[in-house]
Amino acid sequence: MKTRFIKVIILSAVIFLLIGNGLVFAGEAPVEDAEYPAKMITYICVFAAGGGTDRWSRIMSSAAVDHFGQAWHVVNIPGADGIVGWREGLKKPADGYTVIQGSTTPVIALLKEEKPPISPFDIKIVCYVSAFRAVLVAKPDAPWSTWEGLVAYARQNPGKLTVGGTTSHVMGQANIFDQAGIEVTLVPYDSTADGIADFLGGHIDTASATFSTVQTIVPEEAVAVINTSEIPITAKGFENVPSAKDLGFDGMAFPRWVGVHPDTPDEIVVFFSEKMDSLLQDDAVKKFIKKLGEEIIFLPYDEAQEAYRKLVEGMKRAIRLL
Amino acid sequence: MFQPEALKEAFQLFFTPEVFLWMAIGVTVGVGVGAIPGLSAATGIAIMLPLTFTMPVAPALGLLIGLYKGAVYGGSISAISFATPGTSEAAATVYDGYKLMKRGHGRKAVEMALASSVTADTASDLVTICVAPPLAMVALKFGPAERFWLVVLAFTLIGALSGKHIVKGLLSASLGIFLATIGTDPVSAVPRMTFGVYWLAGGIPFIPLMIGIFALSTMLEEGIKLLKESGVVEKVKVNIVKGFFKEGAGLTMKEYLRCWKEMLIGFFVGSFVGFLPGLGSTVGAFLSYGVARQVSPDKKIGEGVLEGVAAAEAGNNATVGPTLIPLLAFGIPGSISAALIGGALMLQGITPSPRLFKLYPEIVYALFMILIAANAFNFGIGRIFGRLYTRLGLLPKPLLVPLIFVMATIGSFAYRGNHYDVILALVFGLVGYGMRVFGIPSAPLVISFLIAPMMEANMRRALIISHGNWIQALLGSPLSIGLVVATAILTFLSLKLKASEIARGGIEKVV
Repeated sequence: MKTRFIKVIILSAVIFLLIGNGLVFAGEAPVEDAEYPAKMITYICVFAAGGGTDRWSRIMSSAAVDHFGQAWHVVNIPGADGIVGWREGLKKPADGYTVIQGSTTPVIALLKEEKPPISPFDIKIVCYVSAFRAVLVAKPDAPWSTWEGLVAYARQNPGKLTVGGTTSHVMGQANIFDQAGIEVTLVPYDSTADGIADFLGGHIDTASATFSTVQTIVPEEAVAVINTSEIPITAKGFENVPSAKDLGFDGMAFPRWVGVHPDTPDEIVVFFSEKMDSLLQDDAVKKFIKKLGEEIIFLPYDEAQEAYRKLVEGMKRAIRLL
Repeated sequence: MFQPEALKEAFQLFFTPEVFLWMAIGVTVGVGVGAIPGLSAATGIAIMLPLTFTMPVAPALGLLIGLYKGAVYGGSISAISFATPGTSEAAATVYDGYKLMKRGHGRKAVEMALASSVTADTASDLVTICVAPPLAMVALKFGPAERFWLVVLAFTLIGALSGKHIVKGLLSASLGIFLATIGTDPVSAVPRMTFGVYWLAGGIPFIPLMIGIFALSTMLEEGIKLLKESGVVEKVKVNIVKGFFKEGAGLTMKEYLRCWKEMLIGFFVGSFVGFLPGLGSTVGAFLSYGVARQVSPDKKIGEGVLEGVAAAEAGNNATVGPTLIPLLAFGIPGSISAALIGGALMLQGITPSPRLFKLYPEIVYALFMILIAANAFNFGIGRIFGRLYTRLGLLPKPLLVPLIFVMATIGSFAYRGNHYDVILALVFGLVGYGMRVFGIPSAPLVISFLIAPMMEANMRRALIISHGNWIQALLGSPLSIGLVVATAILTFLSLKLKASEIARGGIEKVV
């Protein structure tokens, strides 16, 4: 009786597995013949739900079906500064149905590793959707509240001036200070909020943050000294803030990039890039991105791929400065 | 400055059926999300955020704040019912909550968690409303050096959480510090102690550690006990239906009032921790729990008493209102949830900044009203959920142990959709079980794991800012010196208290 019962269980399990596998294979039937995209696109956000990258992913996915003809399934796969999600994306077929959205954080994490699990170039960039600029702020009455004042002070007091911000931010500042030939003390923080809090409390002299953060404290509590990128800030009250380009330096902006498996066919990359452009022109998307205090700075695949290559090379140099 | 016209407008914004409906939905979803191990308030808010895109500002805030408060309470339900904290904030609730559950007082414990949460939360919201801007100015005085000493002060509580054997407590704390150092160096950003394992570069996440140390180790212990018993299947057959419909007694007003001291401690400690950016509600819960044990050794907190639940829950919920202070005063979010609420405000075109009180006073007043009203909704809806979950917790052990094991494993995966977290949870389950076998307390491990990174990062930042001058870095302000003196006094008092208790034989084994 007992043996028969066990046999029935084993038989049921085998049938269940066969049916299950059949369903799985049916679900992954090849779609090369159909016009891309013929099914839902998995959109991997390499950071946890709730962060800036996640909000971008979700806002864009809300309009995806109108522009791609297929919906996006946003999946958050955080871990190891975004490398886990990136690796998971690379494990999927290079068919354009798995897309990765990242930032400079996983790139920096990979550059810091002696033996990185993947290379920062293990990605085919589809486009940039935005880029954040590291803006340096100082107290309005400080001698270093202008770029000229800051340079003069730093030359007279090498290493005395403290600059706080996240790793990306201090990297952006280090890049400029190195070109200007001045020495400052860089204070890395886990989050921009912590750095800004210490700046407002007078514990550090200056802080570096994104434009959207900086505009919450300028002009009441702080003034913007320099925008370390080459992308100008056109917002009211920030027109006179010098950018890296204005001062003759090579700037560094930190992109929100969208990429796919490096073996993905170019025609899919081109298609995706064009559709992303049209999605970012969508009024609803533009409205919500603006409300988040962020900007759409779109670069199509060809420009973005070149910009990304230059960024990685620039970061390799900046990491050595840190 | 108080603006009566704005207050009138805020009433109009607040008193609408939509606000109340969305607040109720928020609390319901929040309690459900919080009670599922691995899913936090932040996850819930992130998922619901797109819904608010097209909503007016007050219902959107009602939904998100309701969800946040519900989730913070929800975390304690599974902590009490299954020894699996739904959220990290509820970890300290496990110690007394689960012991009460095992003795059949689960419903009482859950209702105490709810009542103390709502009490401390409401009180801290009132503090936020009355003194947000001046308190924010005080918070800014705490720089890296002051935060370092504050964390050192918190370390002295390890003595209170160590039970009878201080050496075992220190061993547990050392393990916590070691685990906290795994990952990327907070200053030079170089991976360390990762042993070449790339997915450890981001450090060990708290949720899998907590699930392993609390839930899986407890279930391993219970499971091994069960395996030694016989006739398990028959027992389950008889008890499964009975167990689900069995209901323990509820919390009485007398029991609630008996815990006033612990709720007061939770309110003060939680509010203080909440208004300082970067510490968080989990630290608030553990500090409040530790202080309550220190202050009332006679109440036997840690052995399964309502006072322990009240201290931990009041401590974590009292951080909710004050974490919004830096956001409202300067636009700096004090916590992940504050950042999400800030994001929701920005989606409505309202940027949190020093101009917020000047430009949108009616929104700020409406936000305050929602903060208070959400507590009432949480109290009503939370009770229903609490009763349901505690019934599940009363199911027979042969059914409950594997159920919790599965839930905890799924929870560790659900946290980030990452299978490495499941591996970590299982490893920490074994570590936790080993600690139980050898009588090593887990609380010092958890608290040191939480606060050691803050101590290291702040000390190193203070040193960078002072260009390597240790005296200037750590004793450069009157506030720092005051905190050093407070640490010394607290350490002395703790040792004296512990010595007298050991002499009386009044300390329980371990927590």
